[in-house]
Amino acid sequence: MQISNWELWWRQSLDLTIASMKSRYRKTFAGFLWVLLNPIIMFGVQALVFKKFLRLEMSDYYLFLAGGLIPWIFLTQTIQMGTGVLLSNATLLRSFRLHPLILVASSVLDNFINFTLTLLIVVTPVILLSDTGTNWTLLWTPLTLLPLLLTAASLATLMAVVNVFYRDASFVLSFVFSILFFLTPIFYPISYVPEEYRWMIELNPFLHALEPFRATLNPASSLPWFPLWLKAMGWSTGTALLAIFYWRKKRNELFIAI
Amino acid sequence: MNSSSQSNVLLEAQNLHLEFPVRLYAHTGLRDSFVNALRNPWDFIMKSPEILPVLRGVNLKLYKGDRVGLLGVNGAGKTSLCRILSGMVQPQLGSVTTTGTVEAIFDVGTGIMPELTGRENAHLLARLFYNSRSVPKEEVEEALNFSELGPFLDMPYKSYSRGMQARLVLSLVSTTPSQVLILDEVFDGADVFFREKIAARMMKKIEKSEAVIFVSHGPEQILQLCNRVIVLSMGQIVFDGPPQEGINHYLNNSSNSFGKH
Repeated sequence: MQISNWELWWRQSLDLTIASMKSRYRKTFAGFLWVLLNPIIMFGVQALVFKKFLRLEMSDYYLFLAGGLIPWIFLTQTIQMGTGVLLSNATLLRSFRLHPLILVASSVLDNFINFTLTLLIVVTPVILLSDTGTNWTLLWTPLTLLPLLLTAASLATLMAVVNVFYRDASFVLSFVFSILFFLTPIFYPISYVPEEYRWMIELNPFLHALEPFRATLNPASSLPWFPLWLKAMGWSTGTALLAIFYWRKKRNELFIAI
Repeated sequence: MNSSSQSNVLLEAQNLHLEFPVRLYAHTGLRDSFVNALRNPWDFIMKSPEILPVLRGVNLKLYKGDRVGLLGVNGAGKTSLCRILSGMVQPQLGSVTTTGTVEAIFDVGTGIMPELTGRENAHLLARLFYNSRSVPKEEVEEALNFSELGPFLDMPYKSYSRGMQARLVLSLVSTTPSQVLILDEVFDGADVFFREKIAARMMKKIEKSEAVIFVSHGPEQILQLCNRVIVLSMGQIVFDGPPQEGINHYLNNSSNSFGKH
């Protein structure tokens, strides 16, 4: 029975994702709790520090923070997990034909499941407790996850391949993330950034990837979501093309470098 | 070759060229590259890597019923050729056309999820390995019985020795016949007792498969299994014909050619 390429990709990624979740959470059920607790604690601490200690003046700050931080955690964790995935499965890849990027796809899917759960657990109460409350724009949220997913998958692919050739890539990556965390308007609104520094912020693909999502949560405090979404799609498509280009260039060398 | 008609061609490779840049041995980290770039910026930008040719114009037709033994010294390009034929690697030049499914095994130490049991890994592996068709659960269980791993099957895969891993994987990949089957030196690893048993089972699979490429250094195995031998030397096919002649050609001509690229 022949099946289409897309179906094959989907099936194999899903098989791998289920198996890896099973393997991870068998070790410790606490592992599963940790995956959910980690973003909740991060959110709690930042909410406390920035709202109560530093007293950032902004209406519905918790909603704003959740809308930026939860996707940020998804992006960074997906990329970090994706970075190691080709190297740690080197024997498997060398043994028989398995499209290497299926391993990346599966780790993206794995993280996306965690992200969706966190979203429901953290964001739902924050929305309900906010001044804004629920609104019709929320219905567009699934659409705004698209650029987020595309950016995460593209950068994970890129880093996974880079890491095969430059084994210290994951260390460099955590350094870059810790810098980017401050340069991405997640815990502060972009309006806080003086005009002359805006270009720096605008060059950040992470910001564009998460902005439409944040806009649907709280339409009152942001630009309309649709133009942001178009921009996000542009940026994420660009990132995807870059990843595809690099993959094509390097895929043959992969088997001897791995 | 085998006086077969064009309609019996299962796989055809035309003018395959493959080369690798040698650069990747020079530095292995971003930090190293950064240091090199600062130390020698001109070289870093302008110096192009050395190119190592692996395959130089390989043409190959595989017919129904072919049992090909692929011979060649280390570095002759055997594994690279098999990787291209199985679709894992894209050649820089040339093409592979095939009418059926190609399945290839290069290594038997394939741990996927070390935390999961051998049985769970086997079911997952079956789905990944036979990726274009589904293998019934009973067939996987049959393979597991065959492996004689007994109580170890429900223990974590990470506790397996290399020989046990080989047993599991070899039993599994010998369940269902393939149209084109590529075996790249897969018999090492299993112990002597199991090797005979698995060889018999693998023979059955080989018989049922429509074409087989068998990479090995053992002339006896090739004589026993194959009806055609291809000798690869420095990325080119230097012999294609009957087994005994092929083995003689290999033994007489390749003794000193290692590393002469």
